[in-house]
Amino acid sequence: MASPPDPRPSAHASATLTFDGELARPSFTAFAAARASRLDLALVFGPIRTGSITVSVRGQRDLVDAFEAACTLGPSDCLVREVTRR
Amino acid sequence: MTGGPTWFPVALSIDVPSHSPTGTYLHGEPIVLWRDPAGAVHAWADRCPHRGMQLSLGFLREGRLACPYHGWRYDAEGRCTHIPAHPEVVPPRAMSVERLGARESQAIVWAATGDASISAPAAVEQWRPIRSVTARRSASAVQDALASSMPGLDIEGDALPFPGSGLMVHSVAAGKFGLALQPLGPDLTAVHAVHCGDASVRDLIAFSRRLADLRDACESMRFSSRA
Repeated sequence: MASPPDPRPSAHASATLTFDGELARPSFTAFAAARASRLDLALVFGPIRTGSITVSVRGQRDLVDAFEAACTLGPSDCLVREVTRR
Repeated sequence: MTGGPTWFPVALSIDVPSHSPTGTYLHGEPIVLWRDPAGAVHAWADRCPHRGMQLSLGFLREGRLACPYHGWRYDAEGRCTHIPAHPEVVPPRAMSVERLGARESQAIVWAATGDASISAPAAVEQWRPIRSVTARRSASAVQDALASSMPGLDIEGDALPFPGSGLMVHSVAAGKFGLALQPLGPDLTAVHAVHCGDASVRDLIAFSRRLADLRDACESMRFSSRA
């Protein structure tokens, strides 16, 4: 079996994500911060309103996608109904 | 509490092959043991950081431990180095497996939590593995049974490979038998037996049977003396 190629950093990407739904604020923000740390993403919280939390992230493109997927599932006490990515 | 590492036996060296990881438990926590291409043994939490799969069910690829679930590979430092589904991704450092200290001495693999940077002293005696048995009793109960069965069983100062470890030594004419207790869980203990000296194969087989008998007696709470 051939060795996997040495990984080269995937293209970097930035995204601003707005999650709408039934969001428990401390739980969701802690979840997002933990996932961003795990994925080595720069994270900045944007407007946080009842039922709507916006975050901006920057890092390897695939890991930004992974962050979006993880936060779409979210912590167990939150229900994300819509995600808007810019 | 000194804060230093406490070393526990986790396997006979011979039971950690070079071609495949193996799993065991320490105080109820699952751990995986594996060898890198240089033969150095590693002890990690048996849990892939990705989805929690047991790494002991995985395989070795290119000198790295690969998870059987999604194939994530980890190097000897416990860092993820390859994600097959995203080969272009450089895995962040946070994607690492929790590591324990790991050393080999006296034909036994020892693992420790905490600061396990203490180097092993040079081996001055040649120990050989005999066997491991598992008893459905606590480590203290097994230790009591061993002490009852083998008068003179002691912990020799020069037999201690690391601080906190405990290799109990039973001296006989043909050398020494070493016994190390691995607390797999609250009421489950592995006894790893090794030998140093000139005992014959017949002697080793006899000791092996004695150990199995002792396990049976311990589990039935019959701590009869076999002096």
